[in-house]
Amino acid sequence: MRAIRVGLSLQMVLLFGLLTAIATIVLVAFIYSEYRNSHQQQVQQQIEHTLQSQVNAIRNHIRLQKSETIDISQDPLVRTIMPLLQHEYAHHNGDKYRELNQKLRTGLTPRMERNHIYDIFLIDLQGEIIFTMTHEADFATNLVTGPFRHSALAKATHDAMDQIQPQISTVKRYAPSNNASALFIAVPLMGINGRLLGVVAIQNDASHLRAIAANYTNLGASGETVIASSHNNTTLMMMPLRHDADAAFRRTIKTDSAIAMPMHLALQGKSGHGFWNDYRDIPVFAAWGYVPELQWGVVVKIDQQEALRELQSTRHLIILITLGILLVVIGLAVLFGRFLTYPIEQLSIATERVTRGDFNTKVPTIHGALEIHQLTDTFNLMLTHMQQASRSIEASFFQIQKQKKQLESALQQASTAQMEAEISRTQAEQANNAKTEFLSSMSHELRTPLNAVLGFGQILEQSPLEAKQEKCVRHILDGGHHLLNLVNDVLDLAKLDSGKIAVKQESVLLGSLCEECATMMQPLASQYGITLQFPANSETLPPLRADAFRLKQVMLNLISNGIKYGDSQLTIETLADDNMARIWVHNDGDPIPTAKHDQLFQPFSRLGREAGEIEGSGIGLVISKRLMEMMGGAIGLDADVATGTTFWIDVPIDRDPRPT
Amino acid sequence: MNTRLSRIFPWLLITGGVAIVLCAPSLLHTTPPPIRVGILHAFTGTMASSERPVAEMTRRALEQINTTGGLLGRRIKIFTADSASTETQSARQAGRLIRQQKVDVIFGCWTSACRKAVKPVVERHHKLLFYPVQYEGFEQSDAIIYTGTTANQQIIPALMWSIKHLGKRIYLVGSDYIFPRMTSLIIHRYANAKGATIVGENFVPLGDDNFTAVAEQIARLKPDVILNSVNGSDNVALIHALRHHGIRSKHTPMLSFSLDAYQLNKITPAEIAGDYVAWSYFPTQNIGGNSDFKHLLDPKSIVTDPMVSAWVAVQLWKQAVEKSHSTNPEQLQSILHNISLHTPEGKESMASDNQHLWKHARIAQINPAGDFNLVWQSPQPIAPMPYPSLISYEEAANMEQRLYQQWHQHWSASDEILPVKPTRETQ
Repeated sequence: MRAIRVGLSLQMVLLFGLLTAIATIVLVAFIYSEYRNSHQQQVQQQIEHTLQSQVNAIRNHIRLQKSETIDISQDPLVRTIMPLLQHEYAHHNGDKYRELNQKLRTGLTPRMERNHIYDIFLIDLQGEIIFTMTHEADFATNLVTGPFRHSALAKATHDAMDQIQPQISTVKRYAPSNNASALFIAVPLMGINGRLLGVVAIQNDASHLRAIAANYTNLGASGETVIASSHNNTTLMMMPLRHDADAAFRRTIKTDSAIAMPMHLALQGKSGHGFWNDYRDIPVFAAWGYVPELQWGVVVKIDQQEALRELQSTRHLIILITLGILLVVIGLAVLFGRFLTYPIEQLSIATERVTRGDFNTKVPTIHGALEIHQLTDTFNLMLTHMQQASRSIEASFFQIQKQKKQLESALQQASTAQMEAEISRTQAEQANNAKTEFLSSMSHELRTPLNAVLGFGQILEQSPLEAKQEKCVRHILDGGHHLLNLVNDVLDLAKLDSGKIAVKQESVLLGSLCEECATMMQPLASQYGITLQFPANSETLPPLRADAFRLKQVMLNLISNGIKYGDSQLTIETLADDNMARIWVHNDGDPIPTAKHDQLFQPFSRLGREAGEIEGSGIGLVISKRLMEMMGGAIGLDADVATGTTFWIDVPIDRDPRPT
Repeated sequence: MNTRLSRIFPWLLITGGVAIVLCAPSLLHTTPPPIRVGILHAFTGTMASSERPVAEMTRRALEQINTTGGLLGRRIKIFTADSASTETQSARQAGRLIRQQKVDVIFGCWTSACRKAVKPVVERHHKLLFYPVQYEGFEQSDAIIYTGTTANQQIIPALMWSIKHLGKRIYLVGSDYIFPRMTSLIIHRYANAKGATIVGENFVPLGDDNFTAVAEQIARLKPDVILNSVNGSDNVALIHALRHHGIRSKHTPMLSFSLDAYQLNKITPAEIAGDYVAWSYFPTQNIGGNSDFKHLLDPKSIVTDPMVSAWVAVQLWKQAVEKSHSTNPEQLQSILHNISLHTPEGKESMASDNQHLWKHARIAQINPAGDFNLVWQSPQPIAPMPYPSLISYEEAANMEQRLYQQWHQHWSASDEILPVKPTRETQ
């Protein structure tokens, strides 16, 4: 999977943008929700407060009316005149009645005017209205049997006499007052003896209540006070509505309907506040309460739309501010990202150029972060170094190029030379082969006549000769033998050079070898007056691995040389370890100078003894060396021997002697 | 390692930032202190058996507020104090609750004696007492919220109904303490207004269970109805005495003002069947809000009028606190007048000119099974008038003072002997 590579600027934007967006959104959401809550609470409190003042206004008004009515019922004037009035009324005594009526009227008029009272009634125990201030159609009717027996006044009067307690009627239309809405407060009127005399009632035309309901202070453009009462399972509006001026006693809401829930709750006797749909089915903030005196539900409400208008504009403002903050932050992030990445980009461009080989690039110094600044400086320094390095590398390169050419020509010359050398070598080899061929054939050709010389020489020797002749034959035989040896040696050397000699690998016992050598060399030793001394331990040595014939040839060569150049004695010693056996051949002749040791094993080298009396071909040691090497052994001489010469040969020990 | 760190670093930064931002709002809010509330009832002494269920009801109603998230985001911490059924202890414990437990409000008292003893304490400290029991009236204190009925919501309607349905010749019997005495004054005045007559009247000291004289007097006078304001278990003795003297409900029914369901259990239904009781709440009625509080109680437990009034008291206080966003008594007092509730007793609204509730008056007849049959109820809640209009303030105050002096600075003729008689219960 390949990682997606995002630029530093974009990372900055994403990181800061995300961080700021989350932080801002959370913070703004929190602040907004707090603000909304407090705003809603404020609206709620205002609505609640308005409801309280509305309900209080209604209840205070009723309370004042009620206490005024009680006050009237306890007014001595009323209490004294009531029985008299009752008496005159019962006896249809018009003049007396009018007189009392006038007296009462004068006494009660100030109360009427002072307290928004529409009418004052005096009603006797039989329910007969025996006095009213306004003299409407209800005067002198009976509230038990008369036309207005179902009126609110009739009910309040009945209850007041029944319970002997003040009664407040509901607000209803009252026929005698032109069907205007009215409420009545009926208070028992007690006589001096504590007995019930009748009832004092007042009529309130609800104008003050209407004024209270129509007070829209603090309720904005849509708020209002809704007042309703329960009537036969429907909710009936008691007062005109702001949105429906004819609502009073006309507009109803079904009790079980989902709309106008605050009013339903209020009419259940509950008080509270909340968000509901009102009677128009429009969402409102509402507070509701119950007025027990009038069995009214009161709802104060304001349309949510209006109440939240301020909130909405605030919300728009907040969203704008949030967006603004986000933009600024993203802009800053971009700038910061650019600020950070510009030098890096420059570096990148420069690096690219450098990669293409342009070392003369320079990154401009930028007022960026310290680290970037340092990086730029270091980069430039590096570039400078690289330029220098590049120049010196170029110079070296040219030189190397030159040398390379020289070398190439030299190499060509060398190769020519080598080829020439090869040709020369081949020619030399051919020449050498021709020489060897020549030598071997020559030796062979020489041996045939020599055998004839030696054979006849020996025959002559056997024949009786005079001393002079015998001496000559002796010379002939000696020279022939010498020549034969020489020819044999040359032949051997030629064979060795042409690889025609093969050595066998066989087990050789040193003891018997020494024995054979002693037997063969004794005559020569005696001739030169040399004492041969063979090792005593030769029988105990382990068998050697060698070609018995060729090893004997080497031994005989070394011994004969030792006899020839020795003074008086020749000693042979042996010593063996696990791998090799060494055989020393030591004589007491003049030592060979160390400087000439190397020449010893060169063909035809006799170390200046060519002219000496001792015969020799000068190739015996060369052949010995070759043979020893072919058998896995070695030959050499000890350099530090003070007197005499000590040659030695190393022969491998036969580790696996086959039983013979 | 280094590159890995640098790779997760931005995410650490984001996570950290988000965490801080998310935590910030909660860090701004601190846990508010609990609202401290006192319950003062008799858990020992003569009133214990009547008051314990009321205290329990109050406690459960308060705890229910806690289980539904508390009040104004605060928990309610309840402190319970034992009034030990005596006036002295009531006053002392009220002071202790206010001074030491720092309660803002006390729910408590049953007897008028307790209330009158606690009244000066709460007034002095500007605290509130919610009093859940019906009483005689003639009292108005800004520091007391009366959630039981006052005289014009119980005595007067019951009297009017009795005159209308049971007869005009009335015999009054009561315990000799403040409630029956003031009740007597009211009955005299209102009976007279209606033209009814009090043929006889007798006050028996609380705890004196000898009702022979009363029974003999009733047997001799043959009244149409007996209005009974005898309290607590003395009722048992009264009924036994009446039946013993051949006075039967059928001919001489008795209407009791203070006979609660716990006392009824001590009388066989046959003895009491046919008699009447006046309360604002009867367990048989099923009005809205009933289920709200009934599930707080064991299904088998008897629910009495004061228990319901105690529950109403808590609801009233709760709403006032919610509306005023405060537990300050002075702020509560002003807001309380605007609260109305739908309770098991019906619509209950605070009066605008005193601290009582609009309440229904109800009369029930005890049936042979010992249950209540509702025979009458006021069509609407009755406005509370702690001072009935036929009795002047001065007259009532004078009479109370006279009795207080007569009872040696107590509100009961037999206050001293109350604690030593464990079965005694007063009102």
